[in-house]
Amino acid sequence: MTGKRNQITTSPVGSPTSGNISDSSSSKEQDRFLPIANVSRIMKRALPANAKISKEAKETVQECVSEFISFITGEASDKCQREKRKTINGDDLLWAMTTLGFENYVGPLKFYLNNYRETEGEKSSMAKQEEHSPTHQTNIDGVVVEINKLHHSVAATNKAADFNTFSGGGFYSVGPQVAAPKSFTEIGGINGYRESSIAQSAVSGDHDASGNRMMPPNLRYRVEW
Amino acid sequence: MVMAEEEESGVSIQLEFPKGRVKKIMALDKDVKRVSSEALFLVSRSTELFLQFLAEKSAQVAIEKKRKTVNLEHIREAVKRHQPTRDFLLDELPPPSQPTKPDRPTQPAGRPKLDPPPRGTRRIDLFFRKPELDDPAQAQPPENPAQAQPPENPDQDQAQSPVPVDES
Repeated sequence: MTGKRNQITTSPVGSPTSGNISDSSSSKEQDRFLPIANVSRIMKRALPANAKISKEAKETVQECVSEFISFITGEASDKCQREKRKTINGDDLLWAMTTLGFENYVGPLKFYLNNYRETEGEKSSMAKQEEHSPTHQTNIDGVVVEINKLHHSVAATNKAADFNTFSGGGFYSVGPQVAAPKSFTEIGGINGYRESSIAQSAVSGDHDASGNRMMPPNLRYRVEW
Repeated sequence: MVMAEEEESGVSIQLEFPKGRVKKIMALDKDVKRVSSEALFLVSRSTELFLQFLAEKSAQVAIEKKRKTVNLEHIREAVKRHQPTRDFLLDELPPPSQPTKPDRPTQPAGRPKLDPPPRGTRRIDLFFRKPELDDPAQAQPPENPAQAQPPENPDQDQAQSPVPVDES
């Protein structure tokens, strides 16, 4: 069995007529029938669950199925020869079935044939998916553009940081101004001492307030003194 | 060999029968030169339909006879009830007088049947050559006219009438 199967696998299908004849003659008994496992499975599917099939019946149906193939093929082949064609196509087989009395099969077979051709269409759609990959690359370019925009935003942020640095400088310049009032406060304190020596607390309070309010006059008073 | 059932979601629809085997059976006819992929697909599908039909009819016969096991007699009866199937299969079935062989070997290579296949082959050739007899280029006289007579009669009727007669 294994050896024969290897031979079948090795021999090319569709080889010249002489090759076919020799191949058929060598393993004719096996090639003549379809695998009985497949035949049995389909039969069981078509029968009720509790039905059984005898071994002899399976083998007989196996032969009947092969005869059916040869029967249909022969009629289709005759049509091709009459029309001077060498290749049997689907229409020839549909015609053969109608001629031989199996026209009931033509409807379902056309349905199957449409599905078969749609499968071919799916293969072309696979090619379209390959064409879709450039579009995907275009999307990648868009992402790159967005990245560039983000970089620009980062640059803007850097400028803001520079502004913050400038603000920091401004804050630093305020430092000396804060130190200057301390000097003025010391000067104010000295003035308070002189007022307290006069022993007029209320007036000294006013002077403090006026001193705080009239820094320029304090400077003039200092110049006068 | 892919034995999976029909899968429409897959890339290709899986067939029940191996394509190589179907192609070899088609090529048994020496006149068959080339077969397109669509033709091979249609033959596989039609064979599945025929097998389902034959199994269902045989089951009906078995049920009528109150049997749970489908045997050779039920298949023969189912074949007789369908005119197109009877035309090409009744002669191929084992004759009723032939006794049942319980020790038939499982392997098809070891089958003891030597006479039925040659007869079937000859009759098929005679059937197909009948229309060709009209062509002088391919005229071939039948080897056994006496044996060929029974299958030729219905064939002639079919050949003469363009519209096939349905009896279901």
